[in-house]
Amino acid sequence: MPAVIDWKACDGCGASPEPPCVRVCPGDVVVKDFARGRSRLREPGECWDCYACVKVCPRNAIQVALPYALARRNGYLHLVEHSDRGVVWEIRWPDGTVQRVRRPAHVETFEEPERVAPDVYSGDGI
Amino acid sequence: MKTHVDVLDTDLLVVGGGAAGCAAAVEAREVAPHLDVTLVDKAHVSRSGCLAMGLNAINAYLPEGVAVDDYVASVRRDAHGVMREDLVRSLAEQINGATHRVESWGLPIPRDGRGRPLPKGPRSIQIFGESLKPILARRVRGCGARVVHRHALVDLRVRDGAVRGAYFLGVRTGELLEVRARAVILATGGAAGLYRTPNRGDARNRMWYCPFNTGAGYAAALRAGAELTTLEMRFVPTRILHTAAPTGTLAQTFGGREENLLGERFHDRYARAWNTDRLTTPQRLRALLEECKAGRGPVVLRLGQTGAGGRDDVLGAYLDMTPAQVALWAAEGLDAGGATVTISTSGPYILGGHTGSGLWVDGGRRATVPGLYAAGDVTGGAPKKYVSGAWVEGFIAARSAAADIAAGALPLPGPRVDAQTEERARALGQPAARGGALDPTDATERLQRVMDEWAGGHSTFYELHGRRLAKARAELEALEGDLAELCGRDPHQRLLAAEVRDRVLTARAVVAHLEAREETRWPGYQTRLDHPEPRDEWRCFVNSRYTPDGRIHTFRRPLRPSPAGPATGGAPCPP
Ligand SMILES: Cc1cc2nc3c(=O)[nH]c(=O)nc-3n(C[C@H](O)[C@H](O)[C@H](O)COP(=O)(O)OP(=O)(O)OC[C@H]3O[C@@H](n4cnc5c(N)ncnc54)[C@H](O)[C@@H]3O)c2cc1C
Ligand code: SF4
Ligand code: SF4
Repeated sequence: MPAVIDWKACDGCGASPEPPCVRVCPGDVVVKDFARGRSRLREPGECWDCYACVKVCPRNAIQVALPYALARRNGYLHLVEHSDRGVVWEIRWPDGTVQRVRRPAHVETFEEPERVAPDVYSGDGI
Repeated sequence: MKTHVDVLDTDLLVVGGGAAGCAAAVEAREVAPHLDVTLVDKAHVSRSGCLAMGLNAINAYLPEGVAVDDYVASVRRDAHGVMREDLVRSLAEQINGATHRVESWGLPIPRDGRGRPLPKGPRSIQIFGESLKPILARRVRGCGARVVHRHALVDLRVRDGAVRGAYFLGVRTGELLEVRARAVILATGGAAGLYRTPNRGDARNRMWYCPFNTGAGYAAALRAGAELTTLEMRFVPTRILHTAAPTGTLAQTFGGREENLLGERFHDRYARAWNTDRLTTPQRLRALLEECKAGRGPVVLRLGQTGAGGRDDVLGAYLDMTPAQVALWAAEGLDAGGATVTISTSGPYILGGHTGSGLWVDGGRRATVPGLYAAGDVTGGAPKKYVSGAWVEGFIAARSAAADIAAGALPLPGPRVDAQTEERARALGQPAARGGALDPTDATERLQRVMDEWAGGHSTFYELHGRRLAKARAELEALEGDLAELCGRDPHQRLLAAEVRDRVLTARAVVAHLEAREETRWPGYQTRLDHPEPRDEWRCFVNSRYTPDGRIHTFRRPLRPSPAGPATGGAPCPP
């Protein structure tokens, strides 16, 4: 079911050591592949389908995908926008009609150091 | 492999930055601005825990004209009598205030022409909550607390019989962080993933509760000697088939009614048989399971006529809370009114936010070990607290901890990186050094299979039997023995290893509680085939503690604890 990162659209967020998709995943499921300059899911089975990564990707490179077993090739849900103006989703129904739904949203950029500053104490290794 | 130790000192440590933890950090900084407050989360607080997808309602809210007493009575009825009156009352008194405080932080709450929040059900209101978690994170950032991301609790730090900090695994570094603190508020949520879910393969973590809440708080509290309560009241919700998305929105906001395969509304039939005028939540679950066992399943929710904007409102409500469900509707179609949605059941999950499983606390949310406090889903005794109750408990725990620190009751913690810390660091490093034979994912699968088959999982209609539970107990003890062989090749695998350790200990405690309660108190949640009726002598709590020799000791506590607060001991459960 999980989120799928489109490697044609993902650019690894350039030199970022921790791209937004990696930062927000509540389960540490997304990882950046530094050799290839892209991000990926470590193991799709660990994904909760929360779509937090879908919402923060600046290149809209992450797609919602249902497994064939559940939805055949249907089940199109696409994020159009996620900003302080709102979150906009696009739905395609089985008869081909496309619908957009907008809901209020807030974007938080939380730029805190990811590691505890070693200034407090660094053991010498045990 | 050597494990490096980082050390951090703080006054008040909040573990877990979800609904309860964010509230606790903000309140602590407001009531005691001189306190150094540190919040540590295994993930990133902008999208961690249950609130990662967003919420569409405040499920515990006192609407105009409903008295606190009525609210408490409704919770008592649904809990079949087993709840802490003092805790539930404190929630009833403060949920509205907490909700509007979070509204003032930026949460949009739609209102009618007279300015009243729009109802969802009889005791809940609608919100535009897609960004609830980023909104809480913004407030936490503004409050002056230090936030440490990507560090997962592995153990509490106990010195001289008191909790004086905690140990964390660096999710990026794979190393140990020791936080020394005067007081610790535990807010790590409940436990998912103890039982196998019906979804398989790539969809196996598509479950209702957050699969990254792994019972770390329960396990750490047990190891620290704290008392737990009501783990046997497992939460088994009715959820939408395949996605496990909540059904309450359809049932309450959009008039959904349960029908069996033959199109019958079956609730009244069970209400008559069970001699009640209205089924409780566990009874409704039992009725659904009985229909399925009788071959009249699956059950559907038939929606009421929702009017012109109906379908869009349904879609919006689910996009804000479980967007995967909308993807499924996009595949299957969804009519504007009179549509049916096939439902099933999910879990069991262990949590104190819907049912009553968690740490045993006093009115100030103090646990039974000095220096330890608890709030939200990790805290027991007060079912149906939901997100607003988690905020209330965060606020209360922060005030108690701040007051106890001010009173000098919680002295400075012991020395840095002492022998116990070194022992923890070695334990973290050891499996990798040995190369390890057991993959944490395999261990988790084994756990989920044992729980499903022997401790009343989905495949056995959640039904329990003393003999099956004895088998579960033996299998879990064997599994726990194997965990010494867990491998941790990289930081992520060390995280998975820590998670399965916590899940196994939590599962052992759940099984001990299920074995202890020899009656059926909550049909569906806890159906004992060998003790099918409720019994008066079990109108009490089942509590537990972890003994130094590694057993789970269960005992009873009366429904009304003495006002002096929880003491240790309690009457033993009959053998
Ligand atoms: C899908 C879903 C929909 C819901 N919808 C509603 C609703 O509409 N209305 C409502 O009122 N309630 C709803 N709830 C319930 C509500 O979300 C919970 O009651 C509430 O979030 C509980 O708060 P908490 O702080 O205890 O747990 P959480 O909010 O889950 O927070 C736990 C935190 O602890 C962190 N953590 C976990 N383990 C560790 C560890 N080892 N070390 C460090 N940190 C850790 C997690 O990352 C997380 O940040 C819903 C729940 C779910 C799952
Ligand atoms: S945020 Fe988007 S573009 Fe950046 S690394 Fe992740 S998937 Fe790629
Ligand atoms: S959908 Fe959620 S759980 Fe899955 S990879 Fe994205 S952020 Fe992680």
